[in-house]
Amino acid sequence: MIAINVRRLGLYLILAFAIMSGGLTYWQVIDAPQLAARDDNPQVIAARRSQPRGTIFDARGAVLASTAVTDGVSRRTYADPAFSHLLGYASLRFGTTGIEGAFDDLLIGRADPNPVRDLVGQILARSPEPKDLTLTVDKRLQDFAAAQLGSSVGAVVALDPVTGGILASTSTPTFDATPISGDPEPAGAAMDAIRAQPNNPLVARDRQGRYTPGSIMKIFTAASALDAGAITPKTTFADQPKEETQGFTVDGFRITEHDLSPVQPALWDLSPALQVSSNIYFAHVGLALGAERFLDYARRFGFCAPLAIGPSGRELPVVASYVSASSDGGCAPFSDRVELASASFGQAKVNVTPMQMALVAATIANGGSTPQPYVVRDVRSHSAGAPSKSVLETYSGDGGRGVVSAQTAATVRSAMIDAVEGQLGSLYAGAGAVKLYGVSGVQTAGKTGTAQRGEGQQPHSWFIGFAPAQKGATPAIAIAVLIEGGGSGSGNAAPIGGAVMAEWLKLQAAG
Amino acid sequence: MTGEVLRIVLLVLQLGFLAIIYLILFGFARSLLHDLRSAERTRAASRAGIGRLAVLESPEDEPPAGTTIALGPINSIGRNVNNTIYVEDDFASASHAMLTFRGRSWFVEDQGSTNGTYVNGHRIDRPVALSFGDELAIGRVRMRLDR
Amino acid sequence: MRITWRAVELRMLLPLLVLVPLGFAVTHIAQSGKLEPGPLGLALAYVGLMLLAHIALVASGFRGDQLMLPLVGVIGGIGLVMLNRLPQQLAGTSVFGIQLGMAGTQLLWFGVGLVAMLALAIGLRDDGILRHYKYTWAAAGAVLLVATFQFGKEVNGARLWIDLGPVQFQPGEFIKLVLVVFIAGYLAERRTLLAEASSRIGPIAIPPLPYLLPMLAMFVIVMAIVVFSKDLGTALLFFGIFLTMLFVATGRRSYVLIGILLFLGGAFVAYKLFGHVRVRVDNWINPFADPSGSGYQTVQAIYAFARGGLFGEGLGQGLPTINGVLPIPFVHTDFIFAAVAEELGLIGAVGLLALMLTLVFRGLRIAVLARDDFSTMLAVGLTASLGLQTVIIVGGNLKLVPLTGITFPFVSYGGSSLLASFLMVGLLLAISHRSALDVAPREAEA
Repeated sequence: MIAINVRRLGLYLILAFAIMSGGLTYWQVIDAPQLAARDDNPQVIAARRSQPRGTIFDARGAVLASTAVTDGVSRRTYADPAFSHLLGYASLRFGTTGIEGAFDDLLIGRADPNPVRDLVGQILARSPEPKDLTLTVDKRLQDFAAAQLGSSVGAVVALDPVTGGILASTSTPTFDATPISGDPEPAGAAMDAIRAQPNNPLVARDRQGRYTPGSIMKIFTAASALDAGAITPKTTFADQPKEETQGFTVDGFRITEHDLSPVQPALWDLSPALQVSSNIYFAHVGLALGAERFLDYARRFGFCAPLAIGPSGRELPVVASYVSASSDGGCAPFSDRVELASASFGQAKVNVTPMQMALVAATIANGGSTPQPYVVRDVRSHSAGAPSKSVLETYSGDGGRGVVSAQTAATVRSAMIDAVEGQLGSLYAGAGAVKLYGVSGVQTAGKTGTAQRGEGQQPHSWFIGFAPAQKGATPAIAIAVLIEGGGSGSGNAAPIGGAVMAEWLKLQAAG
Repeated sequence: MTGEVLRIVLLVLQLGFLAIIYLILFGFARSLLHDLRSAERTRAASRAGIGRLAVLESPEDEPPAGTTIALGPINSIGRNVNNTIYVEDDFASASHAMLTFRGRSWFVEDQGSTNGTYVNGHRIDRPVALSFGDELAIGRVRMRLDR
Repeated sequence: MRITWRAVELRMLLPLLVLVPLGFAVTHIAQSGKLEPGPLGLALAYVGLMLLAHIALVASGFRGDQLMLPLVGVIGGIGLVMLNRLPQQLAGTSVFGIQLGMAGTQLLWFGVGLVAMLALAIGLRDDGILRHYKYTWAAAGAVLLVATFQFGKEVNGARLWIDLGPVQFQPGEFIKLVLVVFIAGYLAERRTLLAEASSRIGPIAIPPLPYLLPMLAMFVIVMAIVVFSKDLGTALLFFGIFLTMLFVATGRRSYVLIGILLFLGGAFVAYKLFGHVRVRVDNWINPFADPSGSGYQTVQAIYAFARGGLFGEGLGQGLPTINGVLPIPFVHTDFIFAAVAEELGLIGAVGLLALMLTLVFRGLRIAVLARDDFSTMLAVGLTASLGLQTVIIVGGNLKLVPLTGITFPFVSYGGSSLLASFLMVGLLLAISHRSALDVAPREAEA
């Protein structure tokens, strides 16, 4: 009888040892990749302290971030504060953020984009081989955009509307990431100094700032209503001219027009309504579209959920933009028709990122299809001064996903050209035309926004647009410009938008 | 590139180290299996027996000290030669004790002997269950119950 | 007397001649960056000690188990390779003016342990001294226990050490041994009388008094260890040994269940009452809540496992130091398994566990073949002790159970632990020798 019990005990002990082997397998194989990348893993710390880190180059091979190892201590230098938000920093003390964070394992060299080489490297316990990154961003354009923003608080996002490659993405005020990445003690002091500055320079306004969009939202409203068949380019609303002066009462709430002078109200269809940016007209359009279709199109355009700048698997996050109150990270239903009507011209609960609005412009430019934005073009072998010839991995956008029909996009595009260059439009957004900045023969599509905020606060100044916009031309750049509390869109954001687009066209022409 | 050579040598040696551990494990596994098989044979051979008495001390040498006695399910012990286990000892009674296997355990019962039956040095006055390893004293003869 | 050659034992010991020196050489190459074997004195001395023990067993006509010594040799060998790999200043001692590093000191204890093991295996021809004086042993154990409570030195939050001038030792390791002997004696004596009887309260089978009382006594002792010594590992181990032996003696899972419930109840009360218990349990549930403070050890061990992966970082190539400091505190005692897993990988760590399991099965086989109930219970208790100790410390390293400060038998650094483990193996060998005498002709064939 004892023998039977001993045998049973043996089985229990086998079970216990099997459970231990299971636990071992969990930590050593299943959970190991996540654990190996954690910042407080001594292996990671040791590597960061002493080993070289890959260089980050702009699209043309200019060095943006590089590491020198002196006396066994590695130091990271960032060349251009205009890139601080995009690149982030690789700090012993504050962790890694931005592209530095998303591509950390490659930059350190713990991973290889090629799975076979990755495995061989791990088995042979090769010392890490850092990899370099090349961005889609052109340093010249990024610096130009930052200079245009100057001392204002704001952001510029520009991307290639066809490929989705980010051309510039900058936020002001910015900061110097070099001291933050250095020795822990001075890094703490540097960080404290940055935090003490006004307007929180650490926030990447292009990806993490959410603002009321104002009239630039009308591009979304127009595209959605046209695509859904709720309006045609010729649709007019009979009461609209009267309401321009007396106000449009929705469920007892009176929606009023902004100051239209010097333009006199008339019965407008889509193009003139967009040119003068009639809130009354677009309130009617939004109500004609209806709450459900409004939200449905918002989601298609990428609102109501966080966005990600690719490549996939190594995304840079972009906070969600909302067209109504947020609920569980998505858009809540509109609480009433007034909220819907106000959202149609970009007021009420609408809250958006510059990146999202740049994508709205890019969608119209790209024939109704939203490109997948990406910022790292390729991974290369390490080389200190100039990009190596050995490209290990290339990334690209995914070709875009259809949001509205090509016909809808063409209609909106033509209305947006009118909004900048038309007889009425040039009064408002004329400063966004690239022809004013030394580029001739190119039409510009755009829309300004002057986002009203609370009592006594200056409105946010917005501009979105793209160029070249004329029929048959391939658009080269789509843009969103935001200036916090910058006043009217036509006065501040539009000139920056026009200048940056013109700069890019000139740079491209020069090669 | 000496660094690379060193790494490859280290990798090979490391794998060799692990391989030896597993070769040793394999060796142990083989020995264990071998033992298991011989244990099966041993058990098959001894299944008939349910226990044995090892004679530890016997002044008259009947039963002889140092021998073992195979037990059946019912064993009578005493100075009478008709007993299953014949004990030649002046201090043993003719019909001294009964050693029986009931169910799962061995029991010993005194048959009204003059000098009594002792288990582990204690005199018993009723049937007592025995464990393997327990010591039984009949007169001056000491025996141990073994598997 | 006819000589038995113990061929199996010798055959299984010979691979050690390659294994241990190879481990030392890999470590040396990795740490120095030079393609040379480096000093192999300690490694060869270790294998020499094992072979000497083998020769001693042959010379004394020992007939017991032939796999036990090689198993201990391999497990201890892996441990010594690991200890040799760690910075030698972690521990050490000076003997007759010769300064020994950690591996050297451990080797010294291997020598002492082997002698003690041989003394028990060869010398203990009659177990009467254990069996009949069980209450004396129990009393000695109790005295040691109380002495630990009273005079124990607190190290790392637990009161485990007794300082006797030149020698320090952990009485817990020896109390464990005495405990097994006593419980084996107690249960073997009462087994047949009481296996059947149990009273019931409603649907629950209550163990009869002769089992219930020791269970309660055991529970009180264990709780006293938790409270006075703050030694959760030893408490868990003692109770585990007791329940295992009770299970084998009675075959009743319900008794074990009652014991576990009792223990969980006590653990809950201890959790509520004592800070040191609370810290341990909270770190177990989420070490990442305070990764640089109280959860540090566990988090670092988990990282070590993760770095190891399937094949390991390689001997001498893992455990990255930061400013010259090893990442895991107490890596040579409590966390030696994490170090093994990091440098030898999942494959090596599972191999080590498999070796330990083989040792346990060998112990259980000795128990089944033992001649009498006392020997069986003793062998079960000793084996359970070695097995449970491994499960508790490895489980703690792996965050499967709360982390406790007990050692991995034959692998962790520590004289008391090593000596106690060798004494256990010595007793197991003695038991196997006695049962082998009964079936001598058959065993000789094998």
